[in-house]
Amino acid sequence: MSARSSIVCYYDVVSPYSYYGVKLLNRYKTQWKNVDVELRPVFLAGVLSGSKNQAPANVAAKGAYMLEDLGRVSAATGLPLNFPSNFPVMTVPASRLLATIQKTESVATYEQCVEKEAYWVEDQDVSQQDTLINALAPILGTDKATKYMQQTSEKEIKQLLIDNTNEAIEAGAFGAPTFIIKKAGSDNPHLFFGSDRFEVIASFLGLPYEGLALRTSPARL
Amino acid sequence: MAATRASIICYYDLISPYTYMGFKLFNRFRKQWTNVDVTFRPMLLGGVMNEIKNQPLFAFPSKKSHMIADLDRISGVTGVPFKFPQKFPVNTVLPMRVLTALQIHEADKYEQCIDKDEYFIHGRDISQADVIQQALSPVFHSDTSKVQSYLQRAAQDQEIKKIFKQYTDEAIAKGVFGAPTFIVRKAGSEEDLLFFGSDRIEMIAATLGLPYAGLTSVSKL
Repeated sequence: MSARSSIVCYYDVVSPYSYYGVKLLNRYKTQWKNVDVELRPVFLAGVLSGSKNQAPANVAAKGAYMLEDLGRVSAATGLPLNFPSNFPVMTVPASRLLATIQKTESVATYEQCVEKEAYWVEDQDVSQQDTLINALAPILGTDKATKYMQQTSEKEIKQLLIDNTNEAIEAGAFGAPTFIIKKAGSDNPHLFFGSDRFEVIASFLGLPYEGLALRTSPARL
Repeated sequence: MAATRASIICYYDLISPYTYMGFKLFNRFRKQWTNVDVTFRPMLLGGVMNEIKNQPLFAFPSKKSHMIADLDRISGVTGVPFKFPQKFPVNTVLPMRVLTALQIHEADKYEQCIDKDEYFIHGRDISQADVIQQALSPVFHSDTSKVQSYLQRAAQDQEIKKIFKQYTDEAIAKGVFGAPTFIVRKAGSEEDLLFFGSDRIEMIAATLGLPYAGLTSVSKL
């Protein structure tokens, strides 16, 4: 039980709504006091099969809608998004890499790596090791990025991703992004699904909600 | 032909808990909106699902649990009462056909007839004629024979059946895959913009340049 509220965000790089979820969470949390935030990589396909769900794009009308919705969320939030030419791609290497980085680097460095826009803006094939190393080299340096990439084949790292995924399923997750939230002073977990629940999350935790639009001026009116 | 005013068509089915909540919230936020034409169009959600090979939320246990928790929380944050009914789902063909008839023949009373608490507050079985009778009676100033006549027409009138089916087919043609779905047109545009879910009202407002008071202000609207 903590005196602070906590938010654990389960995400997978393959998920466009995870992309928005992580970016928006990191944006909103700068206005939120006494909240601990943690981003945990999962294997979305594992979450889907574990909860006996299926990806939205399996239904043609849902897939078509998603493209429309993503464009509008981008316009409303000021977060750029270019739907990748290859979708979906295998993101287990990326997720394992991020898990390795989370284990070793500072939170700030890890979050920078999570927010790297290689897939959802730069349309790079993030299933490829070289692409991942090149994407993160500016943040970590090529040596470290290469070293961490090599570590992703270790049993411990593979298990970490499996554990995160099982944890999410056990918590009731059926997709990504999934937020497990605990109010200050309570051990009771509350599951919120989707990048479109921040207003409800903020109200639920008694925190301010600044809306969808990017605030360009530092002063509050 | 492009209209000079913005328009919103909401496709709905009474079976849907998110439609109940969406309808309540939408009507509160709408009080601050000018120059928007709003139409509520009945559709058979089950018919849509079958046609496009989608599955309802409640077919997935973790999605169903989340839905109930999600709506309970939204209820807490907004003050809109909500209680998931014990008997779920029920067949809503009869009440939806009644509403189809009312949309055509009782335009000024139609929206009041949608805004009922029988199912998602009181848990009454709205597939039953006597429950529908009881619900609509106050709107028609206790003219029970009038309500009875609409119940009969809903059950027997081929024209009503045909129109209800037409609305459902229209929804499918527009890419609807769930309820509530809002088809939005900006003023002067013929482009249909599809917004799915009771959680897209903020986005609809942003798209049409309308005010959005926020979920915690709903009780004051």
